[in-house]
Amino acid sequence: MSRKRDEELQRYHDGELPAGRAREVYQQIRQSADDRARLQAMDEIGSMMRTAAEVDAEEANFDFLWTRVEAGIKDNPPASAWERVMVWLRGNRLATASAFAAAAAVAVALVVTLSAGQPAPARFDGAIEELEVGGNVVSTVLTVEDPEGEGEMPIIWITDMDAEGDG
Amino acid sequence: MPADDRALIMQAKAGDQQAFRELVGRYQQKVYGISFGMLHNADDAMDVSQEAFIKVHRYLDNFKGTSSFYTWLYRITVNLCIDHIRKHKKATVLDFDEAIGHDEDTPNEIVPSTLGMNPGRNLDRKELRGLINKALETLSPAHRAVILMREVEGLSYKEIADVLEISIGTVMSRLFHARRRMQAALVDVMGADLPDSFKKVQRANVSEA
Repeated sequence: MSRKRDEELQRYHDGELPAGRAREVYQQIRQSADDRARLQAMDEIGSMMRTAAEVDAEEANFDFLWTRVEAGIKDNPPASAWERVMVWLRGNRLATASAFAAAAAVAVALVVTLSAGQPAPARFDGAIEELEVGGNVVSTVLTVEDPEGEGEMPIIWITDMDAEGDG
Repeated sequence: MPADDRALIMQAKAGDQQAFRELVGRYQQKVYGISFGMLHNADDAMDVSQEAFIKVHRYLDNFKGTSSFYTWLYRITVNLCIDHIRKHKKATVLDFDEAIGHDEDTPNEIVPSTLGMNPGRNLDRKELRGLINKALETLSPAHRAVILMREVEGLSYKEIADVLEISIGTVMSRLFHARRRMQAALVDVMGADLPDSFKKVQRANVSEA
């Protein structure tokens, strides 16, 4: 039995073949005791695994799970905007890596902004957090929709409050 | 995603703890089931279930609803299980590579079963559970996750691919190897409980290999 045939039987067993091909395979299976035996083997494994899982579930005691989760939630409040941004960045490493080049260009723009003492936008729907960077510099983290529709991307706006006051 | 899941998620995002509690109640068995299947220890499975729900709550604002809630929840759970296995090294973590023959000690095919035979038929359910868990322990975490999601949770290839962030082709390949290894492991752990005819088939396959 070829690997290809075994994989096709597996897809048939799992209901993952297109309907037309599934009908053809069904006819072949009717003619082949070996195919039927292989399907039965897959059935047996699945059936035994489900039985085992049922026993596991019957023995599990969920009475205290919510109490434990609730306590955990108190100790771990919803992540800050910055943490969420970092999680998003970690989850999109490839996009993040390719964004570094663009980020370098943004950094230049930020330096220009800093030196010019321009404030962050007074109102921005995506503004999510202000962080004190040190001295009299405030960093405002904004999120905007990713133009490719893959979630959001952060923009960090750094404002020198002294420069702003002078302006 | 079910409409009422979406409503609960929106409420939980707005700080409604009762809504989040309902989500936990709705998914706790599934999360625990995957965790137990991966870890084979009730305490560890409960710890991971707790951790998974806390993490979901913590990052709920990151969930945009573009994928289903359970896909996201399963992904978090499976990743926590794999982290747990790596940290505690309780299971033999086999190197996993789709391209090489990592199943050299197992038959080249899914072993034909004898028609009408059910190896678990004469076993007590708890005994059977013990043997299944022993067999599962011989699988790599990657194989274990795939076969559990398919056989126990009934997820489609597409759903498994979404949870594990792998291609459907990789799902099929992992599932194929997982079933093959699982069957070989069952032959080992069930020993005398296997009908003679099954042993005969197994011996024939081994001598052919």
